[in-house]
Amino acid sequence: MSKYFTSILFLLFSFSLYAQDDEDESEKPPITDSFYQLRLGFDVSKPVITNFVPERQAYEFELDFFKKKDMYYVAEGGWGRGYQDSAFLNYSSKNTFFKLGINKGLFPRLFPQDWDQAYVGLRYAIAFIYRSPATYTIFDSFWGNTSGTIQGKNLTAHWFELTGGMKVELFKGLFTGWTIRGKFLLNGKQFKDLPPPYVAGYGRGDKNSIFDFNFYISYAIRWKKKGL
Amino acid sequence: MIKGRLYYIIILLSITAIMQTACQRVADPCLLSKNVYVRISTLKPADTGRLGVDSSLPNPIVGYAETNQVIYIGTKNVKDFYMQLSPMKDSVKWFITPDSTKAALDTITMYYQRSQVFLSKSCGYAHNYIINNVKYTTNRIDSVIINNGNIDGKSDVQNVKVFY
Repeated sequence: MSKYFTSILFLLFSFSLYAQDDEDESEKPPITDSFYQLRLGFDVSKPVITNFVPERQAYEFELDFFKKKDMYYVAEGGWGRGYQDSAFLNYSSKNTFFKLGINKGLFPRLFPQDWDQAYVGLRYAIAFIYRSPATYTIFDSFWGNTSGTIQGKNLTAHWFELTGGMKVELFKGLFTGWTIRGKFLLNGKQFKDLPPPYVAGYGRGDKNSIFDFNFYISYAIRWKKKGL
Repeated sequence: MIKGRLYYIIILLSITAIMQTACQRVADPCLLSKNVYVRISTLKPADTGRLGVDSSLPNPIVGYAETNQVIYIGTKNVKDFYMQLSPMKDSVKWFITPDSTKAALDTITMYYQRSQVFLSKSCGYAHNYIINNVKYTTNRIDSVIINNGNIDGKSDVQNVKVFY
């Protein structure tokens, strides 16, 4: 729980930095949105985590589009796999996922080239999951061990997410930033019998709500709006 | 401007380091008990009907009839016995004598349904049972009733009542 608290503190801290800038610039006229921006990001944290936790593998991408004011339209997608390998239970899962939603910037741009942002957002997500057949063993020193197999299954998961984060333009078009996410599974009942070990884009299949984070490296292209 | 961005980069790197540390692999041990037991209570008939009155057995011997394996022996004044059902079969027969004498020996046979229940990823599955029927001899036993046939690991549930 403390890790989530720390993340939220960092988020609030970064907002306060923006807020202070805001006060200084309050006399400036509003920035005209003369450009569109399309930005593609890759979550570099997930492959790093796979090094520490090999039973969870995910590749996550984010595409966002800036049209006007402080609104970004976001599409995300990716794939991954997970496995559980123990004396009691042995099975795996793989899945693809898609998310659609919006990010709303919390503070206005300070000048026309200012594409840094802090935001909150909302997502709807869906994942198509294949859970492999599972073999289990129940150890019993009195009667003897019993083993069995649970058939494989195709599953679909739906969830929504509340997000918050920030992105900073390091060089022209090159961004880095993080997003924290609260994820809330909408149809967790189907996982009660045997949840997938890991759902890329979501997390542990046996949890109905999860906190997660992404650390993105992104590249953006911009083009001028017609008539401006 | 540059100073501000450096500030952000430091924050980002700090967050990454914290989160990576938080996500380091932690062993996920199975902490749940996987064995379930039938709680057999011994009682005396009373005006309270099915409830009965607790009655300890003075010097009981209890075990599995088919294997002659004794589970309880040498313990005095016992009124609750915890026995396992077999995950390999649909019935199990126990013998029970309240005072260690052969003349007082009775058998109780439980008939039940078996099922596997998912506990967690780290624990896997466990056996649960539903007792449907019970048969018994009446050398000393007066009657046997199924009080709660669900054998699912819940504590403080009297599953079977044996009246003497």
